[in-house]
Amino acid sequence: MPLSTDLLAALDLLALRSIESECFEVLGTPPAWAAPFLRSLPDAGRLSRAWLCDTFPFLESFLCDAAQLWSGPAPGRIESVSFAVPWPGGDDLLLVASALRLPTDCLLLIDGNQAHLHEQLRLLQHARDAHLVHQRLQRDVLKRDILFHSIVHDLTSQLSAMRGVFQLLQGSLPTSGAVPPELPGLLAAGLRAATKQEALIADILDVFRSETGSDGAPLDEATSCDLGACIDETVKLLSPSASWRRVTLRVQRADTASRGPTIRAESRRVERVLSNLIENALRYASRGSEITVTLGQRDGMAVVFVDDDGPGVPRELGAQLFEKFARARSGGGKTGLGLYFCRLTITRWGGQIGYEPRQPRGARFWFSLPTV
Amino acid sequence: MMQKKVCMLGTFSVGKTSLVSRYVRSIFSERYLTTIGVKIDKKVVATARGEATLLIWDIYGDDEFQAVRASFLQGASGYFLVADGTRRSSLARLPALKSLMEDTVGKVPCRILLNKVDLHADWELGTVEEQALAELGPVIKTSAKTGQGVEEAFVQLTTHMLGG
Ligand SMILES: Nc1nc2c(ncn2[C@@H]2O[C@H](COP(=O)(O)OP(=O)(O)OP(=O)(O)O)[C@@H](O)[C@H]2O)c(=O)[nH]1
Ligand SMILES: [Mg+2]
Repeated sequence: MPLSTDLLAALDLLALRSIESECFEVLGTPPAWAAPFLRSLPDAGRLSRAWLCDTFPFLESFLCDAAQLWSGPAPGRIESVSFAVPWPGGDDLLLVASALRLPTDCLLLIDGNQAHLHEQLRLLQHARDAHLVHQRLQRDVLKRDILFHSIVHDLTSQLSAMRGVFQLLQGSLPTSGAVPPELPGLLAAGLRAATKQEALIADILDVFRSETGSDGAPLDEATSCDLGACIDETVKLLSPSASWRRVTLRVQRADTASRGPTIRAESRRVERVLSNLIENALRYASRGSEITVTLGQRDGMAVVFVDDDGPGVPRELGAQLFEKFARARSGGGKTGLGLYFCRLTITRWGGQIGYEPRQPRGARFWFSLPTV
Repeated sequence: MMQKKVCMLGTFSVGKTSLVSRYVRSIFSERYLTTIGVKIDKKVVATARGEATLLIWDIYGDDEFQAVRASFLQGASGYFLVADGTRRSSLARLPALKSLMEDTVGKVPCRILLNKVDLHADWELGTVEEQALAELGPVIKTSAKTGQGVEEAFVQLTTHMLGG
């Protein structure tokens, strides 16, 4: 039984068979959407390539691809993207063209199924809208971050003024005479609180700079520093706080060299990484114990271990230890940004950072960095 | 009359369709209706070097999921690279689009349209970005909303295509 000549029209397909060069014949009954266009044809059953390209200018480029397929030896099919053409008195009409190479025929099909094409359009619109909302949110978050960090930054100036006042007062206490007995202790406590607060703020600002890349990274070739010297410097800075907690800070070098190794990093930030790790250790080390900072080599990298004898990190925290706000061990006035900052910094410089429990108890934090 | 094919290239929602609507039909809509596929408009332009009929190819927004195909660009005599001044990210793929164009049709006249200049409060580009744009070609600041720079852009490009 021959196929109904209405089948193609029912499918909204305008089917054209390529006959001799530059000429097509319409197969079956044309679909309703095509009628207004075909009306301008002198012979409704036949049309030229020129007429097609004039009516649907998009086909100009598609027919080049189609010609290649039709002149080739193998059967096949290619499809265009959709294209819009003005529709008399209404929305644009969406069309898609395909070229078919059958064993006997070369066909051009123009599909005008509006329901199907508008569904595709609707999905694309959703995706675009969502993408725009996402970009807008990202921008707003960044703006808020900047505002938040300017505020935090502004807090530091008053804080350093306070610390200065405490230091001055401490220095000008008379050694004898009428000093209330609790005053030196109170001043020391005030000074400690101000110093701690400054360190918290430094953490927040460090993380912000690392996250937004406003820390001057990437490093240029010339930036390098002496890792050993960074350790000595940091240990010196933290020894008052260690002795106050009755903890000994010991530096241990795998080799006997008193200098080096040289690493490609910025000393100020290496020292902040070190002080983050050592301060953590100090917080958990038991009174009278020792914290060892060991400098060594591993697979051609410089490695630093910070070992304490504290309770170690609960197993369930392991995986997220170096994430933002991971509340390293039990909280207590920390931002939860310290280890996150360490990871951002070390990995940015091509190094690694990690944690391992020690036996029988204690924590070992380590990081490695490429040497120059 | 001479027909010249011109392509509108750029990522999604930068205002390609709005610029064409402003130029061809003098209308603007705030509502964002994305373009699926390609839409072609015609307009006769008069320049100091004579008239031409522009076939303006408004092409869907190029992004990482749906890159513009080289076959759309074939036969183009000129093109616009459109950026959205309120979205820094809209600049990212312009160099790649320029290369695609040059690989397909060679060096043809081009203008960079820095669109949405009416949105001062949301402007995201600094001098660095504007300089980067200028390296791609002559920049024209446009607004499909107010019409600023739109006529000028099409006339400049057409003049250039007619050998000016
Ligand atoms: N204020 C303002 N809005 C504009 C301007 N140009 C475009 N818009 C708006 O920006 C949105 C996107 O415009 P379109 O012209 O659809 O962008 P397009 O580049 O064609 O987008 P796609 O087709 O998805 O690639 C719409 O909401 C427009 O109203 C302009 O110059 N000023
Ligand atoms: Mg569009």
